[in-house]
Amino acid sequence: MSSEETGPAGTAPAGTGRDALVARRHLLLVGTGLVAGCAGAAGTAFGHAAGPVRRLLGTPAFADRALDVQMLQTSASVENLAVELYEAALELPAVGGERAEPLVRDFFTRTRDQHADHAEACNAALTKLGARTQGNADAALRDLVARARSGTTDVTRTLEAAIAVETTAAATYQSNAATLVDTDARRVTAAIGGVEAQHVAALALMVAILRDRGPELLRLSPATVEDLPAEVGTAGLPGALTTTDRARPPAVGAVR
Amino acid sequence: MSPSRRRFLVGGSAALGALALGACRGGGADGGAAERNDAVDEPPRMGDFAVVALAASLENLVVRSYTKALEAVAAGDIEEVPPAVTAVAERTLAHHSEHAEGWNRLLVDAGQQPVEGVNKTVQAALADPGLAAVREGRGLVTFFLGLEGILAATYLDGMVRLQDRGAVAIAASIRPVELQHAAVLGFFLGQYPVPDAFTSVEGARPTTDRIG
Repeated sequence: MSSEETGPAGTAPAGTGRDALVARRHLLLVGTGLVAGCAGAAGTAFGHAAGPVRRLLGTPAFADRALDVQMLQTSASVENLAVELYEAALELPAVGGERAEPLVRDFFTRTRDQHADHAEACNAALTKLGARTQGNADAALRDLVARARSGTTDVTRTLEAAIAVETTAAATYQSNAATLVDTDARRVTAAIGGVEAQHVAALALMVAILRDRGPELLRLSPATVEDLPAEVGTAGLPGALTTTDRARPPAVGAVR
Repeated sequence: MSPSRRRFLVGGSAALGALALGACRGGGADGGAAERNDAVDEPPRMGDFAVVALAASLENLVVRSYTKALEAVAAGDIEEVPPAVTAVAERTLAHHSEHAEGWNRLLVDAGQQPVEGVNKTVQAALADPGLAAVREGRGLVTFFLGLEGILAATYLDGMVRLQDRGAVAIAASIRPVELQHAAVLGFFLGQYPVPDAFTSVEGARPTTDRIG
């Protein structure tokens, strides 16, 4: 494996901020009028998701590929961080120990493995593009790993740290999905991003159950729902739309 | 490669999605919904508009299905529905209403007619008969889960087909929510909420579905 390093933690190289990079990417679909529709939607709740649409003229193919590569490398770096977080959490007795709630232990184990699969998929997409893979974690998110470790006496702190990294991952994939040019990269990104959102929902549901009823309802059983308060059941469904507020900038995970 | 990567499924909906696909393909098995009827169907659209219209038609159908389901629960026609299920159904209904409105706003802003009808292909093959067969809470949750799976798969397919980045961005902001619906509904059934590392297009509806 070639040597790899991330870009400066938490920063993007000058001239490659998200707005500048995304501006290079937005295409005007000639003749469909759909772009006009997106511009009109700018003032609505969906305008936040649609964003500005600008004409892209004569963008070299290599520039498109370079941005795709950066986004995939950044996604991989977030996945690597997620694996770190879940592994750190599993070291806690309340999460990975013999006396941990089985659902919590199972969830953290399986989710760690899923994130490893996601990183592998992002790196496979990079290899397909002829680019370098990303084996490092997004260093700017390491405070979340520390927060996950702090759940020694209150496992909900660990769950909430996991929610934060999942939200970041989901937002990053969501943002990238609308910007990626390579079809396979977009397909992989879309296939993964929704799973991160499911992680958020499942974790939020577990936190709500623990806080409202305690661990006795934290079980996988058709009977569980019968005892759940209504408001706890909706804890995993906060909004009609997900946002890109916590998306990582495209270049932060770029391999140099 | 972990086993979870080998098979891509969306919650517990794959079988239901496949059922919908099978029922929708046969000429007579879907109650005649496969044949286009220009007198009642909305006119077909092209390109990205077809993808957006498909999404709107499915959201309209899901809104209709959830609404009828909640009415049936309130009337006592569907029994043993826990409060958490009713609450999630009401929240999910509100989400889908917003999704449908958003897509139609996009169409109108682009000078297109909004989609006022539902996806009649899925309605005939799955939604109407599926809801009619529900008698109790667990069956209701399974029914909802199937609908969410079709939506999620269709959005994933659409996100690759769509050319306009703004439309992709909208789809990218909606699809995760459908998957969150599926995760919570799966948990209500006693299923592991996030069973697979990747989601798939299995069960995605084509733009040739009838809308009316």
